[in-house]
Amino acid sequence: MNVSSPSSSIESGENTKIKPGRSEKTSSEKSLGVNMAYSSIFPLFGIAITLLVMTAFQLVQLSMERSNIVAVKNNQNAAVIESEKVRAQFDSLVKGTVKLAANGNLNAAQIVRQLEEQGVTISRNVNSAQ
Amino acid sequence: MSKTLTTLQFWLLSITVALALIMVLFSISLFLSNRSVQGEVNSRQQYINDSIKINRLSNQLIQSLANVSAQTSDDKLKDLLSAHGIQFSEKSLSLPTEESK
Repeated sequence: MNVSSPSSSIESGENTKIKPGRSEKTSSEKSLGVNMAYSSIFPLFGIAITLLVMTAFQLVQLSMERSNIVAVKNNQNAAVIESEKVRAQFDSLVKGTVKLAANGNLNAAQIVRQLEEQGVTISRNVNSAQ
Repeated sequence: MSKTLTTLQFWLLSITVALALIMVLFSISLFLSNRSVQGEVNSRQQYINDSIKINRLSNQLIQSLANVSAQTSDDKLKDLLSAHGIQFSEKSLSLPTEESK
């Protein structure tokens, strides 16, 4: 250890260098270790690894979310097919009833009126009901 | 310690960042794709929910047609129901008739 003058102080930290010729240091200089050279490789690797782990986590989460959505979609298939059948039957029944009403069947006309009261829109020209 | 990177450090860092970039791009595309599929699932669910209401209404319509057909002996309504595979007998309808009151 180089000690140039008797008045220079030996600091407690292991990584500090004692400058020759400077007999007096402020307390902040002592605590910071002024002439220490730090490598930038560790912070850079830290950032890169953090980014990598974060994106990998997000990717896994998105993949799981996608598989859940696809499972829900597949589960809907049977219900959608059943819904199409129900709608087709209802549409056909309404069309038949409207046709009978148009041909002068009073009972059918009464039922069509009831349907309209319940909010069913019946298009007599297009022959479709919603 | 040197402030510059060694060749190995440079390539390790570059590969790590390249992997991260690829995964970010893949995540973005997966996110957009998920959003599209989720929208499709939502619209299908809405379709199913609407169909449940229509099914209820359809049952009411069938019940009304059968009731009126039985009460008035309207064969045309009965034929309409038969055309859709719906058969009924007057006993099964349990209609409130004048005699039962």
